[in-house]
Amino acid sequence: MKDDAQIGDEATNSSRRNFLKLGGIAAATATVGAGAGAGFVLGRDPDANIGWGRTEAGKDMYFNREAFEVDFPPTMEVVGQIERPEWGDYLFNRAFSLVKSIKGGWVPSEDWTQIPDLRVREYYAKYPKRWEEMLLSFSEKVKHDNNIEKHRDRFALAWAYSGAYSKGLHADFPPEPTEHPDVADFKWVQREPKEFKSPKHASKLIKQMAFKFGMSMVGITKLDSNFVFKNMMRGMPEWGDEIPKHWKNIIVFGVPMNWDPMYAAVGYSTSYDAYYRAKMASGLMAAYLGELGYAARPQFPGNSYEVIMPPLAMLAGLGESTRNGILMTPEVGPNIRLAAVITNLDLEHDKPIDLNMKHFCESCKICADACPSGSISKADKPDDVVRGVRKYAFNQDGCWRFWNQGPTPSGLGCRVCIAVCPYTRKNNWIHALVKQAEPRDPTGVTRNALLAMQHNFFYYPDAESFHPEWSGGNFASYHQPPEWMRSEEYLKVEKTWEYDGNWEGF
Amino acid sequence: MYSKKRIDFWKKVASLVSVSLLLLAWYCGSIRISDNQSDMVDQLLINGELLTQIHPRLYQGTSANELSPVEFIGLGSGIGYGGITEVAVTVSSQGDIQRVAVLSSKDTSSYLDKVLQSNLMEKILGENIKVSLEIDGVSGATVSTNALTDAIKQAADSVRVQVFGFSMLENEEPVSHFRWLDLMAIAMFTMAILVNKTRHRKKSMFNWAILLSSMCVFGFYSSSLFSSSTMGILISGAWFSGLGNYTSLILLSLVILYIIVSNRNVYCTSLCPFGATQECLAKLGNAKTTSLTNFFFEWFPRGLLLTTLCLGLYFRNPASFSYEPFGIMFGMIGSIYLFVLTVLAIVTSLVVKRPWCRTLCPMNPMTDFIRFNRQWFKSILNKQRAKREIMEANQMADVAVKSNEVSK
Amino acid sequence: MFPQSTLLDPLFWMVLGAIQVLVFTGANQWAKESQLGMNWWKWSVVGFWWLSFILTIAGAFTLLGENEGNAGWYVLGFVGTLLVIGGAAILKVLVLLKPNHP
Repeated sequence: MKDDAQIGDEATNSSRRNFLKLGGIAAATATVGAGAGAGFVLGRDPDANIGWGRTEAGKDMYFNREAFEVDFPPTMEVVGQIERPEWGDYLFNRAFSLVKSIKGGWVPSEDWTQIPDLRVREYYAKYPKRWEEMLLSFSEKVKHDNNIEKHRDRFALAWAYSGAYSKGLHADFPPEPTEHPDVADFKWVQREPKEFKSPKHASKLIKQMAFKFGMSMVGITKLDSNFVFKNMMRGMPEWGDEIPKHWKNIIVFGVPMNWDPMYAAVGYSTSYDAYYRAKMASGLMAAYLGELGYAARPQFPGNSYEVIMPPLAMLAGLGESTRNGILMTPEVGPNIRLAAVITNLDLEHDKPIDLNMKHFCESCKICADACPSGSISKADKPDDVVRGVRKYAFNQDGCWRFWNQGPTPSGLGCRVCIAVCPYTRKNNWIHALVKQAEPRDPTGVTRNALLAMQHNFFYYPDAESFHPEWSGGNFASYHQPPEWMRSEEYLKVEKTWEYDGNWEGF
Repeated sequence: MYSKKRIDFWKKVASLVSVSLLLLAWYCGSIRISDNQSDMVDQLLINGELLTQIHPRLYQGTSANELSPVEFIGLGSGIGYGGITEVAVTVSSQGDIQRVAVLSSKDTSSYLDKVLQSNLMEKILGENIKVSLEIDGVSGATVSTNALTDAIKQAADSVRVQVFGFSMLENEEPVSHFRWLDLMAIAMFTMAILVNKTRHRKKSMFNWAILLSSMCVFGFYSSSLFSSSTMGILISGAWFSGLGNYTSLILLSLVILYIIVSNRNVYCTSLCPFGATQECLAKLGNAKTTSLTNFFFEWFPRGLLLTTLCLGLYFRNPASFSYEPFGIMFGMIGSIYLFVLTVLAIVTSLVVKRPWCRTLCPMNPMTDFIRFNRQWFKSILNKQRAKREIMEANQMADVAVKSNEVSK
Repeated sequence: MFPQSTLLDPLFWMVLGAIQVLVFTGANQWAKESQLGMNWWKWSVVGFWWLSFILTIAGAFTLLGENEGNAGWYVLGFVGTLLVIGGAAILKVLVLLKPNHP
């Protein structure tokens, strides 16, 4: 008996030892392989390029769009003949014209038929209900101007950040065109155009240059004339609806706004940081093309456009349209500010993509619930047709009205819808996982689970809370401002306010 | 330490003090209510300057330089989750809806918020009341939506009759809010009584069957188990004027009745969905039974329940005052603190048997209160009966003695 | 854990990977003492559970780090609780499936 037990013991002992031996070898091999692989990848990691990191290497645009390419963008639902936009469709044209009239002595009233400029009148003939918002924006701006300086202590650092970029934005590069596009667009061409091997080669190079010039995303498409404004041409006193023949293709690119300030919309956020970069890139790109001998006309923020950007970006495959009408990309959500260059260079076009964002917007509605002016539609499916395309109803003038109320120094901009959108997420592993998984899930289970978590686990301030104190709110924001924007951390101020928004949770 | 008689005495004091506190809360609550409806309605005028009442459900607003009224304000009510929802609708003299205001509501604020945040209200602004109003529902808050919708339609109708001369509200029979869940509640309660009474060898299995079905039906499916807010609704009489949903109230009433009649609580052992959840988790984790005869765990839940009920009575809003994790567990409704409590209760159930039941559940104080007072009442009756019997015995003895004397 | 550090980050992950070995040999030892009779698919289930658990904690804390305080705690409470219950269930199943030694 003793012998049997001993033999039994030895048997089990040896099998255990064998197991450990084999296991050990396997583990060791795996580790060596992992070491080699990890080492190699780290050697190439663009994050190591101090000052010129992942953005310049084109690594911001990590999403593989090829798998989702379609022939026509699903969120550009064409339901009739697409009409080109008019000068009057552009809110800033209307606003500045009205300001000019007011400065000239005109007194606005509730009766829109008294508006001096015919083009502005035509718009409000179509949307009479929106006139009250535009009207309100003037009185609210006065209220804003009367109240804003009292809050300088709180917002000093945020205003400084925005102001810096604003100065850069309003510098004279790239210069605004002052002549006919046939002349202006060729201003930087000094030599014969250099021929490319093929449009495909040209596109590949141009996209790399966009990244080198600091952009996070880029897409190329044919300049669709449906999205060119009528009666609008910078540098020309008058313009009809012709489109210059050399306007062949458009290169659309953009960057996100800086994350932490953006999350603290309204008072601590700004569009100018991203606007500045996008504008500079458009100038650099136009100059680059000019050096190669091609015509190039930059389109850039704040107001220097002849085209509407989001639909062209959609056609260029950058992203899809959303409930609040702006472009939403898979990488950064709607947190993208666009600029572009129109050129006559022959380029290969990108295809639009279908990420099923439509279905997400239908059930999400977080931006609509948070909008401080209630300008975003809460309908399940798109409920308006604008110039031949079905989309969600959006009250431009209501949005503009709240800009004039918001606690930014100039009263321009809100960005709450961008801050609260579930797609607006930094690129850490949990969000990257989810962003890759959700569009690929045909059952919708991922989307529903995510929406359930988004609606139940996350805190969103009320729409009214985003308003400033003088208009019924408490300066709430989705995230509290970052440490480097809290004036009480650095300036000699007395903290008389409480922050309302998400923070660390400890 | 203390004699039983002494403890008993203090318990009687506590019982009486509790009842008086509840009555006090009720009384103070009625002082708090400013019943000045006119004041509230006055603030709803938009273009009019002077408010005059035409009848209890209709006001008109007039302007100095206009002969006919500029606008009308109609009042309406609907039956919601915790009681009546009252609404005022301001309508222009042409019949366009200009403003909708919720005057009062007994529904839980998170449901009400959900409805108010949807575009239900916005959609009807600007609509003309000459035609019937189309009002969408809000998923996840059906009862609150129905209450608001009924109230708005009733308010609009008061104005419609005044301005256009006709009514669109069908003379509806009082809507029966009873549903199959209420029948199930009664049926399952009966089964629970039977199972508790029987000595059948499969008694435990039957009990498990009822527990599990209750967890599914009254728990996860409809989240209709009762809580301290239901107790508040019961004692405040908010159900007199109608409730949107009677299931939890029916269950509570049956439980209380049965305790009074038979001195036993069958709900905790056989019906409570949260108890069922804890039992399942206990089986999963081989939980140990513990005995918690701590003084703190006996009296703290009692104080907690009393405070909750008093607050509910004072604010006339028992639906808003509850602290049980049931809402989170079965419907994901509640604050983050309640959420933490729920997580703790669930995780602890794996190692300790029925931790919620043994610590904070308001059922224990309620049951103890009823049983204690029932006992007290019975002992008073017994004493009286004993007194009477002694008197009768004495009388008979007297008679016997007298007859004996006579016979002698 | 040290994403900006070129030295500490790879070191951290290497060490983390190494202690997993300890985790599983320890679990193995424990399983042997309880005579659970572990095999490949039982280990896969346990491993999958362990991975889910660590990922949930990491994910919840990523949210906290991202200044989404509310979301972080809710994810931890909701998914975490489900996983704890799941873990108890798996344990129960493993005990039930103990091979009977003659």
